[in-house]
Amino acid sequence: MKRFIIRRLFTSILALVGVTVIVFSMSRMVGDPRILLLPQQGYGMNQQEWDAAASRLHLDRAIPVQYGYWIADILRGNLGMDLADRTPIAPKLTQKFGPTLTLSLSAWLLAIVVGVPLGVLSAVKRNSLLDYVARAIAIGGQSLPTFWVGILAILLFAVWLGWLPVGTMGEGFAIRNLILPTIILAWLPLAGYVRLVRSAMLDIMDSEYIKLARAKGVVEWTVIWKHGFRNAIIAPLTFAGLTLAGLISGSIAVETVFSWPGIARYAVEAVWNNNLPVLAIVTLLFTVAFVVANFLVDVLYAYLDPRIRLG
Amino acid sequence: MKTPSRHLPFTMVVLALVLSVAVACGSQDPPAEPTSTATQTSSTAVSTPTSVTAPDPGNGTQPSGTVTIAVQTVGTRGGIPRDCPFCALNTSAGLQETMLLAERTNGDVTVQPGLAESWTVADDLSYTDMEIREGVSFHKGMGDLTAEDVVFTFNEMNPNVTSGAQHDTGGDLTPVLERTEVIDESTVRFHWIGFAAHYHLQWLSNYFEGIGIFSKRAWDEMGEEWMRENPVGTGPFELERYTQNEGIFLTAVSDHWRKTPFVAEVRYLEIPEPSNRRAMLESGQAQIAQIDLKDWSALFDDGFEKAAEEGPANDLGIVMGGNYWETHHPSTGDTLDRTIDTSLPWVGNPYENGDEFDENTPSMQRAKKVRMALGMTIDREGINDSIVEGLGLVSNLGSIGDNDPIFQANADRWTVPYDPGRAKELLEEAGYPDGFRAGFYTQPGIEAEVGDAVTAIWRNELNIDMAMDRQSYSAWRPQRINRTVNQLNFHSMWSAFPATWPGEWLISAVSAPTGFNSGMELPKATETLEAKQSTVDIEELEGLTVEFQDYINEWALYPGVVEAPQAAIYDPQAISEWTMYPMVNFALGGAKAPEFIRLAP
Repeated sequence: MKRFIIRRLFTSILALVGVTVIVFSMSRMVGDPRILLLPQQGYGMNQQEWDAAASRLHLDRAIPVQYGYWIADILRGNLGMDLADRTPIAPKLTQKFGPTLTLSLSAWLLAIVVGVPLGVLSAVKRNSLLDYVARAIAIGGQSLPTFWVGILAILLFAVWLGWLPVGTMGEGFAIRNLILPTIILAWLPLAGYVRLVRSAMLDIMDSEYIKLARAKGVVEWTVIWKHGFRNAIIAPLTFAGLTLAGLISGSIAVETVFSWPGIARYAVEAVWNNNLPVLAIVTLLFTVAFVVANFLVDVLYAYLDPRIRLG
Repeated sequence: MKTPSRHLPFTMVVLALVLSVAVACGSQDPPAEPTSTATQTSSTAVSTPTSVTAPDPGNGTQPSGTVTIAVQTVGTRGGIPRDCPFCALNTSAGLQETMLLAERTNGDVTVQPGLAESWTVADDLSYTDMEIREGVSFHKGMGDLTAEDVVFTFNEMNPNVTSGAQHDTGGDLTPVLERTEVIDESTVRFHWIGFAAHYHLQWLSNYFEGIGIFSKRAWDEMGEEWMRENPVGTGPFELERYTQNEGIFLTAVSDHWRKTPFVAEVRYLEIPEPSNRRAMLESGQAQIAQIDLKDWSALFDDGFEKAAEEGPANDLGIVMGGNYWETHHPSTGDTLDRTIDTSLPWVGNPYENGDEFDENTPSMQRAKKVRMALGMTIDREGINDSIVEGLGLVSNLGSIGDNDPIFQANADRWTVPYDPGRAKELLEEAGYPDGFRAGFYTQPGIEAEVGDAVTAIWRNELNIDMAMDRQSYSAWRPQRINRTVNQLNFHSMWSAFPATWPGEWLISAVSAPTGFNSGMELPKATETLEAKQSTVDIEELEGLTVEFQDYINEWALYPGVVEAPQAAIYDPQAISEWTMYPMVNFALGGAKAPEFIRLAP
């Protein structure tokens, strides 16, 4: 197990380094970064200031040295400057991480709380009305574009029925504002849980030891949840780790449609404004989230399934 | 359709007359002593106060209620004067105030006293002295306004004084304002490099990119970093909170010197999706919203109304990108390093026969025919009816609005006929009988829709296939800065001002090396700009304008398409009153001057 963890840790670090190289290279591909410092109107910089900016940004050094400075700054917590208002990026990321985490965790929990039992029931009540409904929810969640569903939901629940607000996070912790974006964001992973759990449960419930349990007269509830579900949980558990990382980075459409002031919106604005320092850091952050989640899932998976760590 | 620029030339006539009298009556011996005083007691239209700008601290009641405004973007924080990326937002939101205030009186736009109570222009137009209003307080307990605050603000944002200053208006002031100086405790002096008749209105009032006054005490006591986070002004609203991508949250100043707001709180919320802004307005979650033009008619049918003052019309003129015809910088004389790519059908090279500018070179004549063909194959009426819902105006020349009095006086010459047949003949003469393929950059929204319509007509009528470039403006903008534009593209703003204003800098090399430029550098533009900055005589200014527009028209350098209106839409059932200053920036979706918003009972 120890060797397995060390091996996974090493490959994770390697992946992180690779990502930093790619992100840095891409940020340098668009030309001279100093162009981004010029205001939209006005007379910009004179030659002296232009040269000073090169020195300040280490552009007068070789590319690998520039990369070294960049990494060193990040490790020291200096994530650079937001070109939009020329203020440090780090406090903004902290500020925007809260709304994103609130939304992502809510959606993650909703997807698990609803998706997993629905998957189990769908398998147990195979070909029933409940099964058909669950499968329809799963197909809808996986095939309907999030932004489109979001806009329709706003039209229905906010404009026509007037039950919920159109968007924004509201003042303080406004539950009403959280409901629609959470449901929309949760739908896709919920669909994944339904399909994954249903499939796993169908396999398990057909196995010999389940038949034996039933033959021995174990009550159906215990058969399903103790003997069936516990053995079917490994795949959804793996899925859950990656889903959380995916929700944090993948809420772009939902944050845009619902005007949610999180990291994903920040990233979208950075794309539109050619705000490369922000884009580089956000990309790096998302990638780190995935790599860390992947690592934790690998470890958890190995812990739960001896075949992995011994193989 | 109302347009803020319509009557401005008449104002300029008055202003020019005042200044001319000042020059005529004043001493001829330099240095000139001030002899003309335009104060609030003057009888001129320039300085007569009105009920809007007169101090009116009491509404009878204390501010109450909250108004929510849904806008596409709340931009960036106010910053510091040296580094304020979008400072017009501060004045538009009522957070900061300008030295003068713009006001529309009987259709004309005039300047009124603002933070300056009175002012005096030197006989030789080299400076303006302004008397600061007493008893105006900064927010957050930063004391009263002084001459030091005004000088601090203007010198910090002026690249002529502060090297590297990047206030969004600062760059525009480089050829205009040399420096600002404290004369005494309540008097400041603006030293002009070149004084044009409209400069008080353009640079010192809230009309265009008026410069809001920052607190020097905040800078001295709290430091730069604090000030970046906490823009301090004297406006009727104080900043409670600004969160990027979320909103601006303002609270009313309860005893403001000029206008105590009716509402206690204003919330500008950033709602990027146009459909959501409309949904917020319709559901009552917002009382005012920035709405796409295509939705206006439906909302009007449902009883919603347009704000009293519109922002500048989005006048879409086509820049024939790549015609960089200037060889030396107008101010420094430095040689300009430009590539004139004559493989682009609309680009001509006037230096094919040597170092002298020659408009008769083969490429100049060929490109002129191509540009004329493009300009006369635009169905302006059709585009206005279909894309702009009939709410806009056609635009024949991109460098002057069709409703400008100077255009109207010359409309017979400057109206471009829709004549695809003649255009085909011109293309054949230019050597493109089978059309050509090229690039056209547009920003998303109305620009892209109009661009698609124009290029569809070109494709059908002239077999010209335009590849539409839709990358973000920020990503594309370096081409403008570097003078490497090789596509057609739109540029708007000309119709926001009277044609007599020196807008020619937008297509001149004067802003080189790193300043804004539309994609062309024309010696004629520089020549006109310099001439306009050396006179306040309105007839001379009009003459220069006509000459310049004749040149643009003859060489088909800037064909216009359409002027699309821009304004905030509000719910009259929620808002009973909302007057507004004429302000031709489109900050905050046109939802400006919130101190005049009164909620319905």
